[in-house]
Amino acid sequence: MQEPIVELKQVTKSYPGKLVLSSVSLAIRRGEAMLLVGGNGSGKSTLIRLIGGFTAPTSGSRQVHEARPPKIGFMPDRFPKHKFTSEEYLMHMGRIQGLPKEGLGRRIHDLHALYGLPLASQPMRSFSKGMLQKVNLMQAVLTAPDLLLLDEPLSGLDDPSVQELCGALQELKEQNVAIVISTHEPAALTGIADRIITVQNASLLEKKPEAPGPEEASIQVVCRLPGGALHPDPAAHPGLLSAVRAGGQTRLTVRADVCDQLLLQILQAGGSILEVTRRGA
Amino acid sequence: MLSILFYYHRYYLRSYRYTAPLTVFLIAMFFLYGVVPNPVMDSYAASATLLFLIAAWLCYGFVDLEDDTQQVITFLHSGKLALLYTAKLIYVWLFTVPLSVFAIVYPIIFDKFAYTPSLRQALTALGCHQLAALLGITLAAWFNAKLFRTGLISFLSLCTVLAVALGGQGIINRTFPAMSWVIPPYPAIMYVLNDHPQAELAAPPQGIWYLALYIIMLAVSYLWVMSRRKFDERLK
Repeated sequence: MQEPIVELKQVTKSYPGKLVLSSVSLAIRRGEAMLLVGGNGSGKSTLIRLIGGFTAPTSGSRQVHEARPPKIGFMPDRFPKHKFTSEEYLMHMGRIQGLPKEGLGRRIHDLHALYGLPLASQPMRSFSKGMLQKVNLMQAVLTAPDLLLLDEPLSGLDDPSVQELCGALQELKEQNVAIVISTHEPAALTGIADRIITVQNASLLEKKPEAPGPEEASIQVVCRLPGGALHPDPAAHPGLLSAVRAGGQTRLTVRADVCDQLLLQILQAGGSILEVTRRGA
Repeated sequence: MLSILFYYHRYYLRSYRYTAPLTVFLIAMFFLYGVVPNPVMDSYAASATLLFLIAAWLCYGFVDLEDDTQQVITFLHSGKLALLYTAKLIYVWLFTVPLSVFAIVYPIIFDKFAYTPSLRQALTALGCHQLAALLGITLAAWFNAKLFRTGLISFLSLCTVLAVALGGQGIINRTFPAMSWVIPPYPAIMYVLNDHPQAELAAPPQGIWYLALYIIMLAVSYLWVMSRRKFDERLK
């Protein structure tokens, strides 16, 4: 089995008058997507902070199993509304990482194009929740992380944005990035999860994600759509699970039972199919 | 380090948190030199005390300025927590450098003194202003939201410490000499500027070296404590 990049061993975290996590152990491996589910205040966010190493455990240890500490990307809940524009903000974060100015500028433009956020001169404090979440994700993946931590990434996102985010996470997972997602709305994310862990009563309960039935198997379609559209019409495709655009191509993940319908619509819209791959059962 | 300082600079400028302390500093300076002529070193002693308080105010307003969530993100991008806290101290210090220079140069240029101070006097006064600013900064940095339960408690505690620093010699005289090792050694600056107005000492008095050591110890222990504390939620 692959060696974990971060491992929590018998970790307890408590605050005065409240035990949040009691003697929990968890190992996170490359290319693995883990969902942390549980009610509000159950300790999901604390667990994310412990995994990231930015909160110290009350007892127990956090071990990093590589000579070089893993590069961690973090997409927090409640991303602040800065007085910077998104470009200024990402430029600052990139420069703090030590990235060269020119390559960073290109990367920021690419990320804006990828997540469909216009490069504007308006400060982020006037952004909607969905726009802020996109900048939040961009800063987390400014350079490819080894481990990506996401705290309630779907809150405030509309359906197309959720699909885009799921597509982006699927891409990162395929690049061998370990992903840990804390959410209380797991339905949209179970498609990419390898492990689902419930945080409850200061403990962790793990269950394997159910294998998809024949009707739940997904198909990935790589296509080129006319006019740079992300997908033909999301309302017409309730089976569309994710959509992400990169390099002029669009990568769609769709439920297998509605795939033919989607392919037909892409062709009728003047698009072209580049690749079709079946996933799951 | 430069990229972090530049980020903090833009963050701070857009917050406008510097406007109140800067305004108070300028008003107090114009008030101090409102009547001419003024004694040279006594006036510098007054402006050094003013800068000590203003630097503490600037640092108190700056040290918790960055959003709590953003602090975690900045840490992950920079990779080193101690580097961020070092940058915070350096940034506030850099912010006070032009204030020190203004406090020295303004009364000379606008002929506010009874006589023109010598270069040595001006440099001694500049050094004292910088030490006063650094002491204010390294004291105020401790009174932050991660170490205090509420803003009110940290503010009142800081005011108490600043008052004790300014009136420290009286407390030492009325209690016991060992208190001089605990109380912030601000009187060392007054000793140079008030008691030796000629400022012609061959070397700084011992108290100044102790003050410098005190500032370094405050800064190093602050960085050590804050780096260990990480990003635990505020104490409730």
